[in-house]
Amino acid sequence: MGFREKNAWFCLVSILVVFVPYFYFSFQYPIEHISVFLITVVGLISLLAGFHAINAIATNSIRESGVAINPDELDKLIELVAAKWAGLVLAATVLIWCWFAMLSVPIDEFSSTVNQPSIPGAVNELGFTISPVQGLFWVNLLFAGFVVSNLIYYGKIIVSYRGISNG
Amino acid sequence: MDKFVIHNRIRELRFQAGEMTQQSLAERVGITRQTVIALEKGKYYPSLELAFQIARAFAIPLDEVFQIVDDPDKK
Repeated sequence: MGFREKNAWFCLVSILVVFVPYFYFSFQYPIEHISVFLITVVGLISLLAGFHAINAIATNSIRESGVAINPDELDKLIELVAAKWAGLVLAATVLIWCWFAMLSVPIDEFSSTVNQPSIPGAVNELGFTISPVQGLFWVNLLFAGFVVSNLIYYGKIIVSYRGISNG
Repeated sequence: MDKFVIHNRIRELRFQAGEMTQQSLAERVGITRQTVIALEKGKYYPSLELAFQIARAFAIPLDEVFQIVDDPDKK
């Protein structure tokens, strides 16, 4: 297994280890999730730094020369294809999210409020509110799409390298 | 349009060159060992630049390393 494939494995495992508990907690207790988010980010950075250090030490050429291995043309191609897949997933997530967000806005109430004759000094209120729990749920849902697209990215890199090694 | 495949003799040439390892060839041409494996298995066609570098590593012309042939399955 090469340096880049191991890196992809480490990133995939780190994301799963950190974000599965995060989303489990944040979807159950949305209000308390903000401090958990910070812990999650710090945890992810620590895990990635640790894994990268171990990977670099375990790779002979890096240990001997002290220089990181530059990606060659196949590595770049694999990363490009993986980025395309991840980008598609992210774009689909964002589009679906926007579509649901637009559908959840009560258009009828809005248009009736706007069409009311204006009264000097009166405030045009929509009477449309989102509860903090709902808001955090939707924010987390969008964030989950971003995390899933990252999983797709590293997953596709691993599948490509496995395909070369096993095929 | 006819389909084609590109065959290469990298594996054979490595053994002719004093049983050169995949890692050794990779270091000579500035690629990773995994890319050498992909090339030998025909899973990846190199860029023109890399193809010339590989030929130069064996000190032979390009067409002695890579040959283009019609793909009998996809004609």
